[in-house]
Amino acid sequence: MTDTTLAPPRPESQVAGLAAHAVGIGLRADHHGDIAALLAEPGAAMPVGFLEIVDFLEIHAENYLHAGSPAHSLLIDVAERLPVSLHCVGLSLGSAEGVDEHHLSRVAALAKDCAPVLISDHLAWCRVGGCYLNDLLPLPYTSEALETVAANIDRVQSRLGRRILLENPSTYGAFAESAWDEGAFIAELLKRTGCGLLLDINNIYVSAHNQNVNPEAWLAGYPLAAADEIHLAGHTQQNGLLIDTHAAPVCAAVWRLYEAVLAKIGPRPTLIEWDAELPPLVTLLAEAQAARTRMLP
Amino acid sequence: MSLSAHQARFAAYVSGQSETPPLGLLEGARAQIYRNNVRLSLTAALAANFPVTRVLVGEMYFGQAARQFLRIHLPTRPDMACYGEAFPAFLASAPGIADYLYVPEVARLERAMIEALLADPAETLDPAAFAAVPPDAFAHLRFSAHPSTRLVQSVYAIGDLWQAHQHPVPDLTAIEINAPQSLALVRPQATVEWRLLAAADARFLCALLSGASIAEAVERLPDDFDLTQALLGHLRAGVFTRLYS
Repeated sequence: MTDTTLAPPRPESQVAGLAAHAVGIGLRADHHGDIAALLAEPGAAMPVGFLEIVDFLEIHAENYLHAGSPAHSLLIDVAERLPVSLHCVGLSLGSAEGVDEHHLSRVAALAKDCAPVLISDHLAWCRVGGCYLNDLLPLPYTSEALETVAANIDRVQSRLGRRILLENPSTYGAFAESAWDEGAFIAELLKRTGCGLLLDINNIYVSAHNQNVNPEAWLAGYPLAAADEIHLAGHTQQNGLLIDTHAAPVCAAVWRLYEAVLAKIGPRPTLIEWDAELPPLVTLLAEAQAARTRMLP
Repeated sequence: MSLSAHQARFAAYVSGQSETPPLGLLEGARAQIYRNNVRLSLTAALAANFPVTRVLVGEMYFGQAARQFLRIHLPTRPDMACYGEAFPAFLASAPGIADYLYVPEVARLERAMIEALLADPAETLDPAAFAAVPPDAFAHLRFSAHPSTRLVQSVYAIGDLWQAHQHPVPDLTAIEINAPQSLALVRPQATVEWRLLAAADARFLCALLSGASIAEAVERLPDDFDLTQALLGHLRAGVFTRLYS
């Protein structure tokens, strides 16, 4: 259900199973060794305050699908200690050909194994003709696309037996045939499917910049109050465009946009996403701490 | 255009199957960004799955090969660890590779290592199971392979080559590349373990893995083949899950 009130939750309140001011970081292969060491011997060789700062870890579901593999085993250990958020990149909610039932079954099995506090995927597509392009490709915001995405979200939620979050995409151009603003399109999807919003502030900034729109104006039509999680990430400049690389710190303008959103809806579980050219864990902890500081003035 | 036609056309362009950009993007040239992102992410996925192969051919050749490969072999699953099943065979007939045929052989080994890593877990056969086998039934025993078992037989020294590249600066001076090597891979616990097999042992294991009985598997092996030693080696490594006759 979408909460349409704009009353900020109190800091101690809960959002979707996490403290409203919870902060998390992505669990990536580069840091598996560090995390395994932490689980084996708390405090040993770990950045000071890991468990004090990190309230949850988010994984890319597609990297942990193989039961018995080292990655999967680590995830199971992690899930016994910390809440896990299952962030999918391959459900392809925007695919005209519908949901890949085989993959959906594997995600369902993974969810059973690690009991995630959140499950999410993107307003995008990556699968056509049974093949995967390993990227989050853009949708025209048409009535046909709306029906397609809504049906796919329904299918996923029904198979998983729970509500998922839908993340707004980063885009590099708009489609002539789009009949909806992105925010209104997402609001309609939330209304039809009951799913929640994963608000990626960096994606808002990147998409708005690339389409010459003020980011605050881009956000105007968004169902912000339905945000159960916020993503923050870094991007890269290339020939005047912003590319959503997740390979850099959160930039000052994205922090400002985050503050503006927090001022409207209050604290929300916030994740630092860093996927390429990963820095040491301690850098991610500092970014997470910077997010928390903004939620607890 | 229907959403399905739109996505088929978009995919054909970003994967390089077609040079016709997708319709309807207000800034048409922006489609190139998606094409770059798809190529970069799939090339990175292949590079992660074939790290030694990449070093052997160099980053530039690898990037070009990956771009040609992904045009005809897109992933069929969204977990990129599985991507590249057809890559070793693709490399074997790729331009310029004829003088370096050990390269696709190393790729075949790297692929086998991934398959071993991602295979379903299973209990390995306890050597004590032999205690219950009557002596006259021994020759008729057959074995079920552990799901992670892979036998990689090559006319090149791919095990040595792979091992040398586990160091930041590989020492290749002692490697006799034209010495045939066979490797048995298995993942009984968390990590993939591999052993070099003598030629006769590799033929023996190959026969067992294809369902032969012990008696059938030792046919045409040299007289000095040490059956007990070979069988014990495979059992201790965890190559099998079950015996039957």
